Amino acid sequence: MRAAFTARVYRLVVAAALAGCAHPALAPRAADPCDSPAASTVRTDRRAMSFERPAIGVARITAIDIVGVAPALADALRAVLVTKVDDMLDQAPLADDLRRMWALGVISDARIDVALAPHPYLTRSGAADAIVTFTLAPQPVIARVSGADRPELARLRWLAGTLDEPARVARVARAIELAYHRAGQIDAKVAVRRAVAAGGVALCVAAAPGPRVTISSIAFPGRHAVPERVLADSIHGGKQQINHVGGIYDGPALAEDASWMLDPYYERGMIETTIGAPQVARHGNRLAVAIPVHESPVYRIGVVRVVGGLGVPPLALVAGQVFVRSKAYAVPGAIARVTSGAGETQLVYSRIDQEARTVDLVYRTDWREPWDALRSWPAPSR
Amino acid sequence: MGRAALLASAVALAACGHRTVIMGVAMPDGCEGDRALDSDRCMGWVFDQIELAAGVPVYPDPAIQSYVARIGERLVRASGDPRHWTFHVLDSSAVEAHAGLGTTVYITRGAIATLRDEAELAGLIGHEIGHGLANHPHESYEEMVRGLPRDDDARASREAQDNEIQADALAVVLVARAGYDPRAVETMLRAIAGAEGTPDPDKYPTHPGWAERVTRIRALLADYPAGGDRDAERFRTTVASLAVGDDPRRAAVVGDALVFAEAGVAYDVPGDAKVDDGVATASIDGTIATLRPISPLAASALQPHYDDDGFNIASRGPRGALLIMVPGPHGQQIARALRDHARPPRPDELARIHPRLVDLGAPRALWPAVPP
Repeated sequence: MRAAFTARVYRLVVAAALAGCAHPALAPRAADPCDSPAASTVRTDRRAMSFERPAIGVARITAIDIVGVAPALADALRAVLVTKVDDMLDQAPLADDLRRMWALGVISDARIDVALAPHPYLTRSGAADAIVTFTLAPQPVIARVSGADRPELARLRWLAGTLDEPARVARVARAIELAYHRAGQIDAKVAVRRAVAAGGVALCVAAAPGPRVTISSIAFPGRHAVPERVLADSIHGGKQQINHVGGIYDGPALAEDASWMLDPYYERGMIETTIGAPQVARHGNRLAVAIPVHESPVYRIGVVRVVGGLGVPPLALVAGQVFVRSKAYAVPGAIARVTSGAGETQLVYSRIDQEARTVDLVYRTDWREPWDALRSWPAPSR
Repeated sequence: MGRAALLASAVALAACGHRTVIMGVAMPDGCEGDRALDSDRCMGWVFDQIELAAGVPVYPDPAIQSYVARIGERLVRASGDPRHWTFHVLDSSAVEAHAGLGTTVYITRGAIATLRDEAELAGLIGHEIGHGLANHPHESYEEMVRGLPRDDDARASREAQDNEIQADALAVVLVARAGYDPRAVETMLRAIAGAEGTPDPDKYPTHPGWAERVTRIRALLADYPAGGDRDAERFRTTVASLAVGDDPRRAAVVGDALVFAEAGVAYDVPGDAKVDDGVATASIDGTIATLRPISPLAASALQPHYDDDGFNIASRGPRGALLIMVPGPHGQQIARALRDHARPPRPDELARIHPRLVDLGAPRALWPAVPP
């Protein structure tokens, strides 16, 4: 026999959602939901489940009902329940069931009622019969998206017809904002507000792309030894109009270019030069970019040695010369040429003496197969 | 498999006047010069050329190709998206589909074989169109080219799963707008799940579990009235000739020969030989040679070379080509010998090649076995 009364002694109340917003049917409707925000803002607060402990001994579950959602969805939700008919009534599995249903993202509100019948002390088993009822409100569907007519907002338009997922909506809005920023519209804001609409919720999009902010000048304060044009040319992105005068500013890309800006200094022996963090000053829609350069003293070549099993002729590097990185890196190739490829050379050690302002270089040359059989190179004269 | 090497060979961008040419095909209008890499449309076209040349080949049945394209175009029209979309059926028995960068959708013949009506096929195509409309391939591409840090794998996994959920939902929207029964999206998902089995969350961090996907679809379907086209008869008529499992027309062992009927080439291999999903292996003097059908375009771009898979060389037939890969010290010698001894398939060999056709009347394994 189904419950004649709802047991006041054992009532589990799940007051509201763990996440999500109230079902739109609970809120007043507006003719144009996005035009009347005060009347139709959807609740997105979060409340905890609460349980009242039962005062009775034990109860056996005789039925589990799921109401408030379509029968097909109720069947699907029933399949994920831990609680089964004939189980003893317990709070923990019911709480687990709620969590499982929430995790599926298809309900916005839930309550569990337990009805006892007919009276706990009259059943043959000594346990009350319990009927568990999950009263659910379905997660609302995004019925319409307003204010997203611009082509770049198409991704927001394609949220229409899907279940309202606040995290997804926020992620899409943020991605569009970032796309604006990457295009130079660094003030762009994309805000999405919810309103109740016929058939679900409406997303009210307010996009303010803002102006395209471009670079008016790029300066290199502290630069003396290298022409400004050389440093400017070492910045990538010219074809895409990024980090060049007239183009947009991309901080991470400019940071990656710092090593390229150091190249001309390494060719002039100024190996301790550093590039500072760019300073950007905004004047209206124009940006003045200053890239600080801390030039170092000129370093010269100290000791140059070649170790390994292969004798080599004198190198072009001479102690006392200004250190030039490309010349230092050219040594292995030069040795390979004079040994006809018999040896393989690597720069295995370099030491910078900051007091003497010298660079010591040690190369290692090893025989390469099958030339290692000819260890007598250069051949002794006969 | 020398797929990486093949891709590297295939991506042969060459400037031809003002028009960029890939694998002998000129890029579409508006993709000239530096602009080639600037838009999803142009880069999507590049990836499509590479996929078709170096990836799984297109299923050689024009009727099924145009059938899938017609369904796809019906869905695109229903979406209101003004762009031109391209749909390819790939010759693989795997149950897979994916959206390319831009407006290209790929679906395997193995996936089609799991379905039973046109509405389910529309659901699968609609899911991939949904990815494209929601810009998901672009997000992945941008992460790749910008080298965006993936310091939070859990977040990335959550977002990827959410993308799948959104694509499922958009499949329902598009299928219903196009006049099909949106409930077909649920049966499509259950059919694919039944064919694949339940994914292990650790193994498939980009896809949510089937229970979640099916339940979410049911939640959406509650708002849709019953009805809509299923078009089961048209589906059955059109895909009745669809091959399932390994298609012996791509590669088959016939007696002592490996026969590649579609490419029009055969090799006598007296040792052990076998075929797995269109890729043949043969034991020659104790060395395992791998022979894989590739497009003639990929063959024309491939230079003989060594890589991790051994010596790679292309062998051409009148209607297609093979990539021959042989490892070991004699790899080059064996590969060249195979190529040089290629011959046309004999009529008696071709007569013994019969693909297994899809049985549309057979019961299928819907997930879960007992509907929830």
